[in-house]
Amino acid sequence: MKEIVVISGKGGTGKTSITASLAVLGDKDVVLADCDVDAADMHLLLNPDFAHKEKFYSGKIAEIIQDDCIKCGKCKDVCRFDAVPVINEQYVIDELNCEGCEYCAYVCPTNAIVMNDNLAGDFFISETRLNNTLVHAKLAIAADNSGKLVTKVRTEAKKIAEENDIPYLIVDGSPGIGCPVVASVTGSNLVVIVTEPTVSGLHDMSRVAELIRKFGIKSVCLINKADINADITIQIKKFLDKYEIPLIAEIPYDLVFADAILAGKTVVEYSNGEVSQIIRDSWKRILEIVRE
Amino acid sequence: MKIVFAATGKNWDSLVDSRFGRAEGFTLYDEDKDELSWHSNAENKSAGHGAGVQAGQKVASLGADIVVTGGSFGPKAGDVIRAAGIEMIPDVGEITLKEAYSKIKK
Amino acid sequence: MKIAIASGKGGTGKTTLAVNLASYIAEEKRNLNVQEVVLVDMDVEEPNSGLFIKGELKKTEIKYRMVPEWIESKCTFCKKCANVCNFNALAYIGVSVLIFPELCHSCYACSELCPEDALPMKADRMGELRQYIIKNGLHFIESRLDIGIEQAVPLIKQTHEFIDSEFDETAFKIIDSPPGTSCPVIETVKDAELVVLVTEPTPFGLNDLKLAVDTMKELDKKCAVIVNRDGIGNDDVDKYCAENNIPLIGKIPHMHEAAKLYSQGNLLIDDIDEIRDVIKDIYSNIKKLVKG
Repeated sequence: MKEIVVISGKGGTGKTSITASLAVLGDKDVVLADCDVDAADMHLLLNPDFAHKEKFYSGKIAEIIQDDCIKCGKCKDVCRFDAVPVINEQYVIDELNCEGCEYCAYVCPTNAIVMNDNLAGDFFISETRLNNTLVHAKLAIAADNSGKLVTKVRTEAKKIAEENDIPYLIVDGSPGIGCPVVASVTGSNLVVIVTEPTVSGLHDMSRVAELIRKFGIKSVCLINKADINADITIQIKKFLDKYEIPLIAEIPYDLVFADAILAGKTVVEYSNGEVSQIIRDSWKRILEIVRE
Repeated sequence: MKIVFAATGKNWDSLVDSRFGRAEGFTLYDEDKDELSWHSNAENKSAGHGAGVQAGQKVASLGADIVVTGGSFGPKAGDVIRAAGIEMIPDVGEITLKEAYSKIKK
Repeated sequence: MKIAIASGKGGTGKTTLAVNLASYIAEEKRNLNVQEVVLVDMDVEEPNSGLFIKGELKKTEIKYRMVPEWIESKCTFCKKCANVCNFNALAYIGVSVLIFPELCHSCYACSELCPEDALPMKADRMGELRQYIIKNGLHFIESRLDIGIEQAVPLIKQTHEFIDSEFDETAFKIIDSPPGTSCPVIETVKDAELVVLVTEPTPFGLNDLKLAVDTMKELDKKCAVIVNRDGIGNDDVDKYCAENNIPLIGKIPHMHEAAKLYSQGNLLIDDIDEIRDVIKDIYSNIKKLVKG
C-alpha cells in the first residue's frame, strides 16, 4: 500500500479540489483520508454516509463539584490561565480557558475538583458516492488541533486500505506548517505540494518543503493558477530545482474549480477541459513516481 | 539482562510494534528469570503530546538494559532513553519477538 | 476599538481585507477623524501581512514564556514533578529529571508543588514581536513564533498586552487572526468588539463560515460577514446570513486584476477604485455596528 499526502501550506490553493479529483481517478484503488480536520471540506464533494461515528477525546478539563467546594479560592490562585472565574459567588471552570493542567485539583483541600476527558471532536468512517471509503473528522469548537486526531484519521484509513488490499491511500493534508501537518506527512510515501504563484503561496510552500525535507520524504509539486504571476512561477521553479522537487503540473487560473464545487462535483467529473486533462496526467505521473 | 520490546502483544509470537511512543504496549523479557511480562501503553496511545517522553520514562522504570522497536525512536523518546543509559535497537522491522530476540543476540 | 478579521479556513482573503482596510483607514485618517490605525498580524505561526506592507522597523521585542529548570543539587528524586505534569514535559528516569520545554504549558504545577524548590521557573525564548511604521502612518505589529515552538497562545496573549499598553482605546486596531477555529483563534478574538468573517460564495466557503460562526456564538462574539471573490459562486452565503441575522457588510468583487495584484504582494485599494469603494463602505458599516 502506498500513501500519498496532498498539502499546501497556505489555504485556498485548490488542494481539496485536486485531492478529490485524484480520488475519482484512482477509483476503486483508493481509500481517502481527510486530515484537514480544522476545515474539512472533502465531504461536500463526495457525499459520505457518515456510517460510523465516534466521539474523540484529547486531554483533560477540570470541573468543580460545588457541593464539596469550601470556597477557599486556592484553585483560582494557582491557575495561570484565568480559567477559574467567580460567578454568583461560586468558583467555576471556564472551559474555553482551561488547559487541563490539573494544578487546581492538586491544591484543592477538599478534593472538590475532578478532571474529565475533554471532547476534541467527532470521527467518521464513511462510504462515499464513489463507493470508496472516506475517513474524516470534525474538530470540536475551540479544541486543540494537536495532531492526535489527524494521526487517528490516518491510522484508521491505513488499516482499512491494508485489510482490503487497496493499493493507494490519498490523504488531504492539514494546512499550515505546525504539528498537524507533521502528523499528516510522517511515514508517508509521497507528498504532493499544491501551491500558487503569490507572495504568500511561495512563502508558505518554501516552509512546507523545508519541513518535508527534514523528514526525508519524496515530494512533487503542482502549481495551480500558474499564469497569474509569471515572475513568482519562475521563483517557485527555481526553488523546486534547488530542492530537487519535480514539478509535475502547471494548472492555469480557471473558474472551473469554483464551478465544480457549486455543482457538488470534482473537477474531473464536472469538465473534460484543459484543467481536467492536466489533473489526469498528474495522477499518472504521481503513480509512476510513487511506484519507483 | 532485561530487554523491553515495543510490542503488539505479550507472547514470543507477538509482533514487534513499529511505533514506540504510541506502541500498543511493552513486553519485558527478564533473561535471568526467563520470564515475559506485559506492560500496556494504553494511556499513552491516547496522549495528545509527548507520548515518546512518557514511553521512555516507562521503559526506564521497568529497569530495561536494552529497548527494541520495529521502527524508530522519536527525538524526545531518544533523549529520555539515552539519559537513562539504556541501549536502543531501532528498525528491527515488524517481526515476532522471538525473531527479534535471536536477531539481537547475534 | 479592536476589530478581528477571521475565517473558518485559510485562503479566503482574510489578510487581503486586513491590509487593505488598515491602509485605507490610515490614508484617510484625517477625513475619517481617526487618531491612530494599528494592524496586528496574530497569525504567529505564519505571519503573512508583512508581505503586503513595507515600512520602517521601529522596535523589536524578544518574547519569552516561563518553563522549569531542574536544579540537580536540590532534587531528592521524589518524582512528584513528573507525576503532576499532564503534558509529558518532564521525565523522571531515576538518575535525573529531563525537561522538554516545547511540551510545557507554563502551568507552574511542577515548580510550585516541588517540596525542595528544585524546579524554579525561568524565561525561555518563544518568538519575536516587531513594530513597524508604514509610510501612510499605519502602525504594523507582527509576532512570529520561533520554529519548533508549538504553543501559539502565550505569544498571542503577550501581543495583545503589547498593543493594549502601546495604544489607547481611541486607536483603531485591526487584528489579522489565524485561520480555523482552534485555541489560537479564540485567544486572538477574545477582546475584539467585532469579528469580521471573510468567506467565499461557494459551498466550501459556506461550510467553513458556518464553523466560524458557531465558534463565535460559543464565545458570545458579535460578528459580521464579508464575501470575497463575489461573482464566482451562488448566493447561499447571502441566504445563510439573512436567515441567521448576521450582517453581511461587504462584497469584494472577483476580478482577475485583483488576483494579480495580490499575487505580487500589492494593495488592491491603490489600483482598483471599485475595490477602494467597497473597502470604504465596509469601514462605515463596521463603525455603525460597533457603535450600535
